[in-house]
Amino acid sequence: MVLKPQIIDLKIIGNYLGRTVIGLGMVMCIPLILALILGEINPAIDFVISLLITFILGIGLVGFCSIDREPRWMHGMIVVALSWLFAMFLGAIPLFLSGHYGSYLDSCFEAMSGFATTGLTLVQDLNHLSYAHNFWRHFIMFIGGQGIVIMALSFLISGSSGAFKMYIGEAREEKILPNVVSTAKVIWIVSLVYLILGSSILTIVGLFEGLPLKSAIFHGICIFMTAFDTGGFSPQSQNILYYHSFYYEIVTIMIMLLGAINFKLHYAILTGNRREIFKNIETVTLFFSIILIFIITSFGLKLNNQYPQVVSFFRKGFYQFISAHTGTGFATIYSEQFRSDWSTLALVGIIIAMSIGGSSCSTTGAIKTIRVGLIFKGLKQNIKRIILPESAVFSDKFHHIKDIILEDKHILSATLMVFLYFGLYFFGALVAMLFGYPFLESLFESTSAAANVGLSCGITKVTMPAVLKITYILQMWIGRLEFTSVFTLFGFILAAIKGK
Amino acid sequence: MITLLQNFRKKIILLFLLLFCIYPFIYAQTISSTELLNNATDYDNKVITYEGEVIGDILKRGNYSWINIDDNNFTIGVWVETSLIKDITFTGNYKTEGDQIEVRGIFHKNCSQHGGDLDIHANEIRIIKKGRIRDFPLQIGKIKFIVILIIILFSQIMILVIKNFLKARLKKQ
Repeated sequence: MVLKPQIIDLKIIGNYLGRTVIGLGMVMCIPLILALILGEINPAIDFVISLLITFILGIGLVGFCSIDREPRWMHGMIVVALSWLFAMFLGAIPLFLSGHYGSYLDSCFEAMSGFATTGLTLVQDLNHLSYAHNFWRHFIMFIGGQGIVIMALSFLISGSSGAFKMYIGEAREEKILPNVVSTAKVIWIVSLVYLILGSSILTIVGLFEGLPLKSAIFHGICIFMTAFDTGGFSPQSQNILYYHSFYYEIVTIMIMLLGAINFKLHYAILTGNRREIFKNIETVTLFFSIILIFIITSFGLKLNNQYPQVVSFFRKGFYQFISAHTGTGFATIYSEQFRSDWSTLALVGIIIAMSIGGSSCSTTGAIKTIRVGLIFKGLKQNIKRIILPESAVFSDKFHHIKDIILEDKHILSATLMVFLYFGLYFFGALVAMLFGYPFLESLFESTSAAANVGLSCGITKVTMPAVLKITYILQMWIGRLEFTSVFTLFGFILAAIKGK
Repeated sequence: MITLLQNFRKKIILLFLLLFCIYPFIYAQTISSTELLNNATDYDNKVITYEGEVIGDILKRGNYSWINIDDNNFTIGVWVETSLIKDITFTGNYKTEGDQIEVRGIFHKNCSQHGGDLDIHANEIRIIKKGRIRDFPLQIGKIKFIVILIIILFSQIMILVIKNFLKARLKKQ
């Protein structure tokens, strides 16, 4: 029998949701301050409106859903799923008010793409967008990469045992420190340290490549936020091609790779355990995956002799590949060139890379290397079982910060997630095909959306059907949260309708 | 008769010379970025004319510079001698509309000099229309909306304060 949710359940959810919404309102102050400093009055007005709406909603939820009870797992999961939807609707307000989006749906698409660190964009005339609005597009990627609820956990939900449930709901399975609030703070500290370092390096490179100081700083900060959070937005419409700079590309490759690494691993390396990077199952799988899939992509590029020179092969072939594998979505080619210049095999290579992604507990989306590594380990174990005598007892281990005995539950859980992701990739491809798009391009775009990558082969346009926009929004949301919290929300809604 | 033939030969030579001279300017008509991107192979290494707004920053690299030209569809990078762009006064961003320029130069699908970039190496640049500082009239409607929102927020806070006050009083009693 399905139990109908009680008012108390709604109050618990509403209360925690309200706190996250207030947190979002607080971060809206940053682009508002930037707009005031730069004398961008109309953008400042847009942010005041958005901020007020956000505070009205947040304070209303917290105030009218005041309750002392701790949330259960169900509540935690639903709060996370709803927080991301609320963040999309509220984060889209300043974007919509900017006048650079065809509809509110387009700005919601942009906001979800930002929060989920995807990078697919529907902005119009980006080159004339205000600094404040443009900063907001990048900043929501930075917030989303760390996790919207993690942001709220760090500042507004401290000391609560419910925090852990929400932390897990936001697709983070591992704690760096025993306390989840401390873990959330460590994630922010690590990110802020990298932000200062990375932005400074990009600013210097920008200056060296001819950008004026103000632009160099702005681009440095924005590009760092979207590179480290494997997002892929860029301040100009040409994306990374705007800079025409080999050095800018090299630095962004390094930042993208850093972003694709587990925060726990960052913490281990920063606290002196440098050997971990060579032993960890995630980094080892990522390394082999990059080599193997790049070989496939390279063969594809060689088929029609694209980029015959080594430098162009690196700057166009390898750059798009790394951008795809880390789930970033930065591009140094036009999206149309994927269709016109890249062979089917090269596109398949990119699709495989996008579908795998980076490490767990990082800012990347997709299946993630640890699951691929575990499935391969499981396969090896099964082959061993067949070869060795039936009486033989053996156990396999994998290294992830510490040695862990490989159990069937690890393999089962990894396999299940892989199937779910494949289902999500094909679902989006199917919807696009219903609108007449070819199979390969549909699969490319769908994988890019669901794996939170952001590379496009030209389907994502203002003119694409609204149903497809909604499909991609759902894919970005579900893909970023790794199913569980979204499925819990669906279950909750079903229980509210059918429960007794 | 001989004079006629000589005249005819002269005309033929002149015609060939003319054809030879205009060959590089075969695409003298402005080509859009969409056309260039969709038919990049056809235009590769050919002289083309492209027109659009200078956007972003001018990236100076020694005697040459990169400028990015947006024709409302796509933005294409143009590699140009810095001396040719000294007359550009406005580049497009939030506060300014950039100069509209016409670029004549060689289009590259995968430029060997610039790591495979799709670009144009400009030989000539002509400013068609000067850019300007953009106007941003104050949006009164939005300001009125802010006032309404502030009233709602304060009313909401007041209701909550009263609610909590009454709750605390009831508890005491």
